[in-house]
Parts: sequence; C-alpha cells; structure tokens
Amino acid sequence: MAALSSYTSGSMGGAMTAIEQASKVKEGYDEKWIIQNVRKALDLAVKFGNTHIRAFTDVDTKAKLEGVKALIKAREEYKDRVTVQIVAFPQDGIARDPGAEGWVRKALELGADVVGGIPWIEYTEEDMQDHVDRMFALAVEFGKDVSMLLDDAGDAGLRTVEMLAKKTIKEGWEGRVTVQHARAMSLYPEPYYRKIEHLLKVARIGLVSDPQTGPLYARVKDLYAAGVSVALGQDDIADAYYPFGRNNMLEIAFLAAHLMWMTTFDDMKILYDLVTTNAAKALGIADFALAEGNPANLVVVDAASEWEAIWNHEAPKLVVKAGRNITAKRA
Amino acid sequence: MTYDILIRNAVTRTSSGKRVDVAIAGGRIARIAPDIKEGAAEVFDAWTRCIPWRRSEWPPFRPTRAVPWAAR
Repeated sequence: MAALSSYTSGSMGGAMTAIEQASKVKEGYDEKWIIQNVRKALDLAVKFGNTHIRAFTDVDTKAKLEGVKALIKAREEYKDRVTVQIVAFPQDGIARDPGAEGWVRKALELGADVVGGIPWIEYTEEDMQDHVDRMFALAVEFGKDVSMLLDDAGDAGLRTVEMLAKKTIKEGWEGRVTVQHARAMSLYPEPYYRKIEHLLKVARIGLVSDPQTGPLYARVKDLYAAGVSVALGQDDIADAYYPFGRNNMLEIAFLAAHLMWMTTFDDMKILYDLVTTNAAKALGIADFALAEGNPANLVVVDAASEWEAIWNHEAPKLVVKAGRNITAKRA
Repeated sequence: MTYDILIRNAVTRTSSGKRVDVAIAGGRIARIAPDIKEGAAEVFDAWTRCIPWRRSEWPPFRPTRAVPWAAR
C-alpha cells in the first residue's frame, strides 16, 4: 500500500516515488501467476460488456517479457469475447532503466500491438524527449500505434504531452496516438492549456483520463467541447495504484460524474460518450457505430436513458460480440 | 431471412429515441428498423428497454423502485 499512498497524497507530488515502490513487485514476475490475474480482469470485462481493452504491460529489465507472454496467451483465449490490444510499456523509463528499449523491441517482435512510453518519469527534459523519440522510432519501424502515460504528477512544468504531439505531427502519425492521464494539465496556465488543446486536435490524438485513480485529472469536459477524442479509462484493477476496479465502464462514468461534478442530464450524455463512442475513437477502433453492415458489437442495458444506465451501473442484459451472444451467466 | 439475434424495442442513439428492432446475422448488424417481421433463431427479451447507444430525449423524472420517497 506504500505506492498507493505515495501516488495519491500531497497533490500527486510523490507519483514518481509510487512507481519506484511498485517496481519492486516485478522482481517476482512470472507469466504463470500473471495470466491468472489477467483472466479475472477479462472475465469482469465480459460480465460488464467491456469488449475492447488496451492493456499496458510492463516491459523492462525486471519484468522482461513475462507480462507480454501472459497477455498474448489471454488475447488468443478471449479473442471471441474481448479484443485485447497489448501495449509494450517501459514503466521504469528508458534512460532510467538502461536495457528497457531492447525489451520493448523484443515484445514487439513477440506480438505486442502498441508501443508504450512514460517519458515524464525521466530525470531531465532531454531524456524525456529522447524517450519519446526512441519509442516513436520503434513505432515507425514496426508500423504500430503509440500510447503513452504522460505528465502523471502534480507538476505544472511537465511538458511531455507537447513533446508527443509535436513528434506525432512530425512523423505523420496523426490519428494513431493516444495519451493517458495528462493530470498536470489541470495545473497549466490557461494560455498553455489552449496551446495543448490545439496540438491534440491537429495531431488527432486521443486522450484517456482516469479521475478515479488520482486527485488530479485532465480537463475532460473542455477537451470534449473542443472536439478532442477524450475518453475515460479503468486504468488499474486492485494493484499498487488503486484498490478497486471491475472493468465496468458505467461504474467509471458514475465515479467520474462525482469527481468531475458532471451531474446534469447533459453532462451524463457526455459521460456516456466518454465510455462508448469517444473511447472507440481514442483507441482507433473502426466501424464501432450502430449501423447496418457494421460488426455486431452491442451492449444492451436495461435502462431508459443514459442517466439510468450510469445511475445503476449494473451488468448489461445482453452482450454481443461479432454477432455472438457472450453474456456472462448470472450467479 | 433468419437472423441470429433479434433485439426488439431497443432505444438507440441513431433512432432519435424511437424504438427499433436490431437484427444480427453473420456477425454483423443486418438491419435496423421498427417491427422487423422476419424470423429469428433467438429473440432477446422483447420488451426490455435498451440503449446500446444514445437516446436523444430524457424521460421526465418519475417514481421508480430505486427512489421510494418519490412515490409517497
């Protein structure tokens, strides 16, 4: 629980300490027990109608490929129920963890779908930029999308969202990049925030926020109004950073309604978008709309409105994945 | 045509609050229309209120089992 306390206390000034504390767990990483936890999380996803997941898998000099191997097995096991995208994620940094870049390359060769990154935890701005550049080089080489955890601390001086957006435009990777967290955005001066909002739009970058896992969060409502593909994410499930989580995205919307004070009926329409259509856009999922000819991925909720759906955040009545009824059996 | 799944009376985003049936065949959404007549191998809960996507109009606030004080 030490990492959890460090992550959430003191206006997120200890977020980096939390990552260092949680890193110790990885000394005991083993594919055999990791896959058991993955199955539990994916069974919850099926139960609550969460049929697409982007999973960040630690890939570094401690975790090596243990997590990726477990996720690749699970991706195959659950392919008819949940589409899993595996992110090769150097959680402990690139400059700070010499050798991690090589493990990310190996993970991509093994079958990871997305190139990850966490440049804000490097010690200097030069190392942060280098982190972005080196991970992006791998993405271009392997033809993969990019998904990075950025500016995840209470420091208004963090600038890695800007770095990634500029790199995305420079490499012509518009529409293929997603930002997670960006909590420092809540502390930015207004003129700088507006610059970042513009860059996110130009680069067509999706942004996923998890207000339930930390006291700061990106300016979700403003980004939505500006037309950025902003979404809500589950992030952690019973790990070093968060003690709960059921892969229930209506529950996430319910929590966000309180944390972000989005409690009007109009707000709830936005919240519903943030866990459905906007989330699909943020992850680059094609043909997600309810339209004739599209893949039959449907979640049927026993509610008369978005308001009731978020209010009760119960398991859906019916979950259909690619035309198959995959609804979990009730206990 | 026989559909794999037929969801009746769904309230969807694309239908502006109108109830429609959604027919699924071959892994895809075959048809969205009110009162689909063709046969279905499985009909799901014909009168369930559904919102796979968005409903455009909010219902008026009304008593429900979840708000017992509203019924008094």
